[in-house]
Formats: sequence, C-alpha cells, structure tokens
Amino acid sequence: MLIILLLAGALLVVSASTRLMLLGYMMLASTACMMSFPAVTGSAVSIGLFVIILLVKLGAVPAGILSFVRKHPQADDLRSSGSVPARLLLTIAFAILARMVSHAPLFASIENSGFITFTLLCSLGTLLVHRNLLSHVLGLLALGAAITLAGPALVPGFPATIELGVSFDALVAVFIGLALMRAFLKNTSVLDVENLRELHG
Amino acid sequence: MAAPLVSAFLAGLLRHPGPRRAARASAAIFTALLPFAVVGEVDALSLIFCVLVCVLSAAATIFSIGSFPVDWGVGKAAWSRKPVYFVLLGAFTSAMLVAVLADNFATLWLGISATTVATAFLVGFNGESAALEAAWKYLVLCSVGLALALLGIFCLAHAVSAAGLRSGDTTTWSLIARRPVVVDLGITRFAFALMFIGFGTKAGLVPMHAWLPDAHSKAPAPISALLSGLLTTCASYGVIRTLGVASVLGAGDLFRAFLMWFGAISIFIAGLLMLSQRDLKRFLAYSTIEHMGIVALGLGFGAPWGTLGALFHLIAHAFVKPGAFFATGLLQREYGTTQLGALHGVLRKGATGHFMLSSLTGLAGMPPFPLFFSELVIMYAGVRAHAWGPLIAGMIGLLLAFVAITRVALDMLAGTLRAGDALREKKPADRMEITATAFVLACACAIGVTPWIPFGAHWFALGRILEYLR
Repeated sequence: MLIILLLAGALLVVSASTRLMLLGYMMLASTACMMSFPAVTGSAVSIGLFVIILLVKLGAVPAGILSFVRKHPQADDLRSSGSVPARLLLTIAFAILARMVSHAPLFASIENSGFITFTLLCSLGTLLVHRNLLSHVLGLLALGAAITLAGPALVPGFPATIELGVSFDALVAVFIGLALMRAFLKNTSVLDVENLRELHG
Repeated sequence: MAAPLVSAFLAGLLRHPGPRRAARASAAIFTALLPFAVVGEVDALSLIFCVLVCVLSAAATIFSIGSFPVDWGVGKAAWSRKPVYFVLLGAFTSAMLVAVLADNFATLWLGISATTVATAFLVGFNGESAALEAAWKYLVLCSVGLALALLGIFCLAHAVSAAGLRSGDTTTWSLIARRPVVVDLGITRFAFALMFIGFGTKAGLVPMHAWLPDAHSKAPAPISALLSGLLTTCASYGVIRTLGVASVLGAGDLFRAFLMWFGAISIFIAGLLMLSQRDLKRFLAYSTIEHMGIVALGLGFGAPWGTLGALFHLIAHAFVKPGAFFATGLLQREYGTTQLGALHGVLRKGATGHFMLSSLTGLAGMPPFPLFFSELVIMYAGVRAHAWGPLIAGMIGLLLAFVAITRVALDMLAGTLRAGDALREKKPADRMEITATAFVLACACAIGVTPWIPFGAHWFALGRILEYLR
C-alpha cells in the first residue's frame, strides 16, 4: 500500500504528461477507496453509495479527462515549472513530512495519518508545480482522494451524505473545470496559468 | 429548499416571453416568502440568514429580469444563455438555503460547497477570458479551502466521537452544545483552524481572499451583488456556527484570536487596496473584504457587544452592498464601463446617481445607514475587550476605506461629463431594476433606523442568538 501511494504521489508531482498524472490519480483514488471500504457499513444504502463513488472516481472522471486530452492534445503537456529532480525532491520532502506527522503525538490517535498527509501534500503540490490548467483539476481530484482517506480514518461510520458530497465535489471539479477549459480554448490555444494574468491588483 | 431551483427551471419551460417574465417574477416573490415556511422549525440564527437569502435572491432575480436584455456576452460560452442563467441563479439560492437551514456542519459544508457549482458558471457568464480567469481562480481556491474545511469537520467529529458522542451526532451543533464533552484540545484546535481557513476563504478574509476581487468584478451585476451580499454572509454564518461550538468545547479563545487578527488584517489590507482601485466593481469587492473583516473583528471581540455588532453588520452589509452593485449595473449600462476614470457627473443621472450616492454613504458607515451603528458597537466591544492591537489596526483600515470611498464618491458623483466620457446609446433602466435597487436600499435604511425602536423585532432575535453564542 505504501509503495503504491508513494508511486502515485510521485506520478502526480513529477510526471510531465497528463496521462501519467491521471494514472497517478487513479492509483491514489483506488487505494483510498480500498482503504475506506472496511468503514462502509452493511446497509444497502451505504454500499450503493460506495459503488456510485467508485464508478464516479474510477470510471466517469478518468474517461472524461482522457476524452478531453484526446480532443485537445495541448492539454497533455503539463508545462511543469521546476526541473524533474526538483519535483522528485519535493515528493521525497512530502513523504518525510508525512512520516513526521504520523509520529506526532497530536495525530497519534488517527489511523493512517501519514498516508492522509502525504496524499494531501501531493495534491497541493500538484496544484502548485504544474502550469497546465488540467493539472488543477487533477490536483482537486487528488485532494478529494485525500478526503476519502481521511473520512473513515477520522470518523468510522460517518454520515454517508458527506461521502456522496465529496464525490459530488470531484465530479463538479471535473465538470466545471473541463467546461471552463473548453471556453478558455475558444479564446486562446494554450492552457497555461500564465494566461491567467489579466486580473491583478 | 429546492423551490428556487425548481421554480426557475419551470419558468424557463414557458414558451412566450411575457408569461415567462411574469413567472420568473412570481417565482422570485414566492422565494421571498419562503422563510414563513420554516418559522418555528429552525433557530433564530438560521431564520435570520434564511430571510436574508430569500429576500436578496428575490431582489437579484427581479433585477436580472429587468437587465437581461443588455449585453452580458450571451452566447459567448456554452452556458451563456438566459434560461441557464436563471436556473443557475435558482440553484445558487437553493444551495445557500441548504447551508443556512442545516443543523450540522456536514450539511452546512455541502450547501456552501454546492454554491460553487452555480456561481463558477455565473462568474464566467460572459465567456470573456478575464471572466473565465476569475471563474477559474474562484473554483480552484474555494475548492481547496472547502476541502480543508471538510477535513476540519472530520477532525472535529473525531474529537467529539472520541469523547463519547454517537458518530451520527458528532457534527450537529445543538447536540454538541447540549451535551458538552471533554475533548482532546489539540486535535480540536487543529480542526477549528482548518474550518476557519475553509469558511474564511469563502468569506474572503485576507490572505485567502485572492478569488474575491476577480469574481466580484467580472460577474454580471446581480451576481456580484449576491456573491458580496449573500455568499460571503453564508460563509460567515459557517464561521459563527464554528465559533459557537469552539466556545462550548473550550477552544473559543483561540478561535476568537484568529478572528480578531485576521479580521483586523483584512480591514487594513482592503482599506489600503481600495485607495488604488480604478474599477468600480473591483473597488466594491475590496470593500466587501473590508466589511467581512469588520464582522470577523466583532466576532473576535466576543459577546455580548462584539457578537451583536458583528451580526448586525452582516445583516446591514447584506442589504447595502447589493444596492451598490445594482447601482453599478445601472451605471455600466449607461456608461458602458465601470472604470472609475470614465465615470463623472453620475449624480446628474437621476435615480442611478442617487442609488450610487446612497450606497456609497452606507458603505462609508454614515448614518442613517446601519453600518454606522454596527461599526460603533464593534469598536465599543474592542475597547471593552482591551484588544488594542486589532482595534487600532482595524480603525486605521476603516479610515483608509473611508478616505477611498469619499474620494471615489466625489470623483464619480460630482462634476460634469467630460469630453471623453462618451455615453452609450441611452438605454433607460428597466422598472424592475429600479424597483429591486430601491427596495434593497430602503431595507438598508429601515434597518439603520430600527435600532432606535426599543424592543425591535430583530434586536429580540439577536438577543436570542446571543444566548446560544455566549
């Protein structure tokens, strides 16, 4: 589990291609779903919700992003800022920090606190190190995976509505994100955060 | 709660423009009356915010019906269509109702989070690159903030459930308040810090405010009015509920310190930035940050005076600011721009000029507008709390904002049209726009006058809320 999470985090932060990053997200999301499965109570409603979440996160979302990248090849280049070694070092720093958090007395009572912290940091790192707008969408999705991990670890048997909410949020991030990106592409051919400099002050 | 969304959708199904317009107006009036349906079902705090959401959403809908034919970039983006606009507006109202009528943090979070769905598209409604940029920043920053808030809610639930509350009840504030439990203060404080960041982002507190000036300045005028008057208010409602629980669980002092300092910094930075603004809508957006800072400062000073002032300020701002944005919408139509350098002699523009004068007077905190009283009460609370640092920083910020507003008002309202100030082809304001603007400003004035009426209804309601927050 640890190796899968580390690899997924590295793919999110280090990779320069959207497809590889998407693979990282899928590894992360499937691990998060797997780890949260034992917390799903036996009722039909919660199992049904879990299946919906699984379908959204591992089916609808990747399919939507892949189809977007196929239609708009410029979305595949993440336009990362910082070199590959620098991004790799950042991932290692995240892993070290996550380990420190898992040993901190404050978080001692929380199961998988290290995993949660690492996923959270990688998702925030994803938002910061890549300049392609699609990386923001994937970063938000990774943040959703971190929340999925955190929910059952912090509060087993937490109301199912919140899980649905998180998945809804993921779907919304993808739906709104891709719609806005399509509109961006009407005005400019590049999906770069450098284009978001019109408003300031 | 779904009524605004459903009625907007149904009205859009009508074929002929006349009945469709009438149906939308009826739906707006119906929305304004919705609070009667929840009287007795929710507590006083929820009821007050429910009234704000319903009345102001109705006003924005009425204003939108009147102003829609004007160029808002219809058709430039896939969603830039009139029926979509009204459905999104209905969805926005419904989401805010979910937030303010909730009795637990999970549902409150869902409601606030759902507002992002509708508003991201409404902010980027005209499809221009600047509007899309604003929508993008809004989506990303608010999503990250709200994710952190959710993590905070999980941590709070973890702390409370470890102390013996059932997992289903761990986010219900009334149950936590009724059965005070001994919790791990470390994790509880961490939870409240995350919740503060999350709700503070949506409320536009500095330094989490980056999305706000862009979104407010690029959205259509009625949407800017709702973002400023309601969305930030609903986020502040989240902060107030969090403060209530933090006080019960023994983390109130830390949370109040957060509120005091972030509030003071927000007022100061916003006041400073207001001095350098060249766009009227952006100027008003920074004014929103300033006022949210004042609310945070008041909450930080604590009950009874600080909390009372903060609540009164929220209610007052919720009416004055939409009035200012509506008036800006009217100006935008007449002048074709919101650039301050191109707006002169506005007072000669009849109703629009008077609306602008009234709203700027209100925002500057002058009587008879209610912001005067609330600011006075909050400052008094600061003196009583001996919180000199935040109080002085806040007062300097207020002074800067006052100077900025006075300068803008003199520049814009007085004077005559210059040679370069070519007006657009005259498009007189629609009756509905005038009605909506006059209504919200009249409400603001009425709220400003009622503190002098002993046993006024809202003072009674606020008193009941104080019992909860104390």
